[in-house]
Amino acid sequence: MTEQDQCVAELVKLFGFDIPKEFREGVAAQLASLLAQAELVTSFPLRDETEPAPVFTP
Amino acid sequence: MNPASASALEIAARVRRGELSAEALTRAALDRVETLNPSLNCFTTLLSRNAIESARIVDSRVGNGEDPGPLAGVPVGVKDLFDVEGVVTLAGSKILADNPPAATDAVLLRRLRRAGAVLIGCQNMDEFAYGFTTENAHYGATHNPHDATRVAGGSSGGSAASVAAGLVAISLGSDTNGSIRVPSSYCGVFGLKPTFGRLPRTGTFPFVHDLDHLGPFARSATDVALAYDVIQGHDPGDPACTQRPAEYASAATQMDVGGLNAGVLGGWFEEGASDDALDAVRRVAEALGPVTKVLLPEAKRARAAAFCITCATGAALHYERLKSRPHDFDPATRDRFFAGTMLPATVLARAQRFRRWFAEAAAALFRKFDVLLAPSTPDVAPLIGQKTMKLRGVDVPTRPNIGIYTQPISFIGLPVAAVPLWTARGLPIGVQIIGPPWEEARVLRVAAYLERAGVVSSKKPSA
Repeated sequence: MTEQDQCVAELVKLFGFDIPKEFREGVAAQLASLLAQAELVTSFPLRDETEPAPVFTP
Repeated sequence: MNPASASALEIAARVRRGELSAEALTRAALDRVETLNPSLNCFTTLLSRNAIESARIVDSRVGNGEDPGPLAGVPVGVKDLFDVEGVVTLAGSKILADNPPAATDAVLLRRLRRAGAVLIGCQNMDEFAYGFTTENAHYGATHNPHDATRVAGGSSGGSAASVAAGLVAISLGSDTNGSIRVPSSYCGVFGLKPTFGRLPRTGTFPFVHDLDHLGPFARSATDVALAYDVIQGHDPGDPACTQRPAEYASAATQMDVGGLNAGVLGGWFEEGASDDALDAVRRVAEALGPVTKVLLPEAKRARAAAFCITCATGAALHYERLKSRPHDFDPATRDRFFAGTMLPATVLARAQRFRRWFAEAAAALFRKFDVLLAPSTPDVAPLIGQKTMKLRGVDVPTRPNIGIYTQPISFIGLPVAAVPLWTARGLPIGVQIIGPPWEEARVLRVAAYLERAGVVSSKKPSA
């Protein structure tokens, strides 16, 4: 098992389910790609007052 | 009149006048589907008997002097995530095949049928709408009608290809990140992704609730406007659907665009684009007046935020199915959904707040410009099975990069008319005409003007 596969296996345990072994390499690659996009999102400075979108009408 | 190339407007006019029988038209459409669908693979379910029954009802209305509706006898199809009474809604999946058949039609389909349209069948798509190519592991790839070795685009690939191949005159699809605009581009047809919340999604299988839009495809801008006008209006079954009254677009398509101020999106929207994509945008811009290049700031980040919201929210939607039936997913969607279950909540919350920032940046641009222009796709349709594509000479994975120009726009729900142009290679490519919120009539007016001017067309130019 590669380090990435191991990492995925440990992560999903936290959520109470498993990813079949044969899928882990593919999932690890997709997770790496997703986290690269996530870094772009979290690195952007926002004012504390910026409201999320969408909103809902109760 | 050749029904495979005729407009919905023309077909309906002749049926309404009693010059053409809806039943004969429907049989001709079904014959064409029988001939072409085995190679194109546009439909997952054909509703031949039901279609003929519907057509007979239209003909009897005409015979009785009743109004058969503005789409009388027009053959239509819907993406396989619209509920069709008596049919299991598959959403491109194997897993949902175990569900019971839908009890009623989706609201938009009901409105189409009420207008006299004849439903031919349900159309192929990427599994759970998560893809840009319609290479579905369960139901096969939809082939591009202009080059069968190429993809039709996705996720509404069957819907766009059916219109391009003349199997139907109008299709309904969905667009979460580009799934109407991408297949419009690759198949050379017109499409409309309305403002988020404009059209009710009641009775359709969701993907990402705060990004999902529905909209029509057709072979002309006026047909897109006609279909859009027929399906507009609030429905309480969709909590995101606007209470605004319908704002009809058909009349606007006959108007000129004098004095319109169009901005061409630079930066992110041209960095990876092929010469063909840039040339298409230039041709559209020049037809509308002096070309002004403008920047929509942080578009790359907007695409990233849409990517993250989609992956995590889609994963949450399918969480139970991922746990219980992982082997029954299409491998192309499965691994991404699994990855989405692991995205930190912080990212999702930041993405939703960044969305506000980005929407305000776009609103500032629309204080200076009436419409914005950008390519629909970085290049023409890739080959079926093509793993990588070039963005300005750099090899990148094909599937995740097809929607780089559509994702930032749907992220903030702006209305877009997708218009087709033709490259010297004989393949189509699309341009997005982007408007401010609720200005569907404006973007369709521009699309129709460009069509009259001969700049955009669903018809391949003769060599």
